[in-house]
Amino acid sequence: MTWIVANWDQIARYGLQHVWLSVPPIVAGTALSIPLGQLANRYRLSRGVLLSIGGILYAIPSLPLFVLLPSLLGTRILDPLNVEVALTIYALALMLRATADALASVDGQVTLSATAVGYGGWRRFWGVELPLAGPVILAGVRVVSASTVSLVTVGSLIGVNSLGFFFLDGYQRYFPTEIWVGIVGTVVIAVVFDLLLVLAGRLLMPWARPSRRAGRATATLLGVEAEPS
Amino acid sequence: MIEFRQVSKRFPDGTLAVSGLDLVIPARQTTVFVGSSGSGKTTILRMINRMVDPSSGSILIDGNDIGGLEPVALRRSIGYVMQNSGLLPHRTVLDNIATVPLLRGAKRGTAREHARELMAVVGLDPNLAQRYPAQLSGGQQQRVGVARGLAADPNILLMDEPFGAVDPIVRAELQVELQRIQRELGKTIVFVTHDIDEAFLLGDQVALFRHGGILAQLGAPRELLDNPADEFVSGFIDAGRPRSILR
Repeated sequence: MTWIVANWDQIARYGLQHVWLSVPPIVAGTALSIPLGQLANRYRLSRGVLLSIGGILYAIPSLPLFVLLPSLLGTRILDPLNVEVALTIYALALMLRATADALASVDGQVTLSATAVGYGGWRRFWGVELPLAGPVILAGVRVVSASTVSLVTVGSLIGVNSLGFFFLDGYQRYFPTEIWVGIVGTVVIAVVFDLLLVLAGRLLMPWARPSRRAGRATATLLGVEAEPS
Repeated sequence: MIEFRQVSKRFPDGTLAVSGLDLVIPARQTTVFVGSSGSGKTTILRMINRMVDPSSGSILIDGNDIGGLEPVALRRSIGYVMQNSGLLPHRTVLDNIATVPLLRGAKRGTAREHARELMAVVGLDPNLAQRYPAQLSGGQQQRVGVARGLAADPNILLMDEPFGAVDPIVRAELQVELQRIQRELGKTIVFVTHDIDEAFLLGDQVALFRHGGILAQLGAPRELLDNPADEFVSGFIDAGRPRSILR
């Protein structure tokens, strides 16, 4: 406890850095998954190719990727950008399938009806298909958020510091308190991110909230089984 | 007036859905397309707002060939009501009704105000305005669908089996309601159904299609009933006979 109080400044600084390292990959991975997910759904071939690439990318171990990226990107070895790019790749790999499936799951009757009343293709995508894919996309973002917050810690091995620093330092010094600070801090960040995502979902997609009256239609939309009423 | 001139439609898979159709749909009346599945009635309906384009022939609205019109603008000028309402699940009742005026660039406030008036026209409780479609009953959803179809005050209203998915009691209510609305507004309504009773009840004229989009008979309900053109027509009518309102 004394150690935590004494080192609070450093914990807060690395905690904040952890947050800043986590956010861009989550946002970028999600944003990139939208056009690529749409492309994946367009043709049978593009779906096979894109989703396979996604699967392979996710299988690359993170540490070698961190080490490899500077030579590919021309960045310095300690540049946080390496970690950001690597984590964006992982986020995209996970989000690609989630977004493609989310867009494919939008009810064809609804898109047909949107076309019938005069939605053009572009407007229909942004105004109807993407919002309706929202709940499933959000479920994917929550997984990616937790995974990214946890993967950021690996960056400490190549000197891009986050709360992961405390595992390493604590391990090297045989000092469990410090390791626990790193673990608990990381989990706290992941949980707070998740709560914020759920809250954002509630605010942006009030229609998707299962209410007593909503019944099966909404429940199906969320991909959960309706409670017996 | 909507006019089909020698219209045929062959789908990419080779199915001939409509062949050589000549048909005149008079203005300010209700024309009902009736026929069983595969009779092409929905395909023919969807040609009117260019959801489907014909393989050959032309379709004219008030003398203008719609083949030369921009499809999206055309669709915004024609009301469309479909089965299972086709409402946007993520928009409130009010915003669903206001969809087309908003697409056409109306101010949100004005469009919503007009949508409120339309809720009264179709007999919807004003308290439902902020609900989402999933929170409504099937009958209420269809009423919202009709209100949406009317929102841009189109001359033509296309209705694709709009009451097909509600229970018989609610369907009867909706049919009566549609007749009342039509008396008040006098739209050119094209209504698709597979239910001959519904066709006879609502249609000023009824177009009965046989398999492959061939017009078996066109006429007022009385004419079809008294002088069926052939055995197919009398057979189709008889199949629904025991319940027919014109018995």
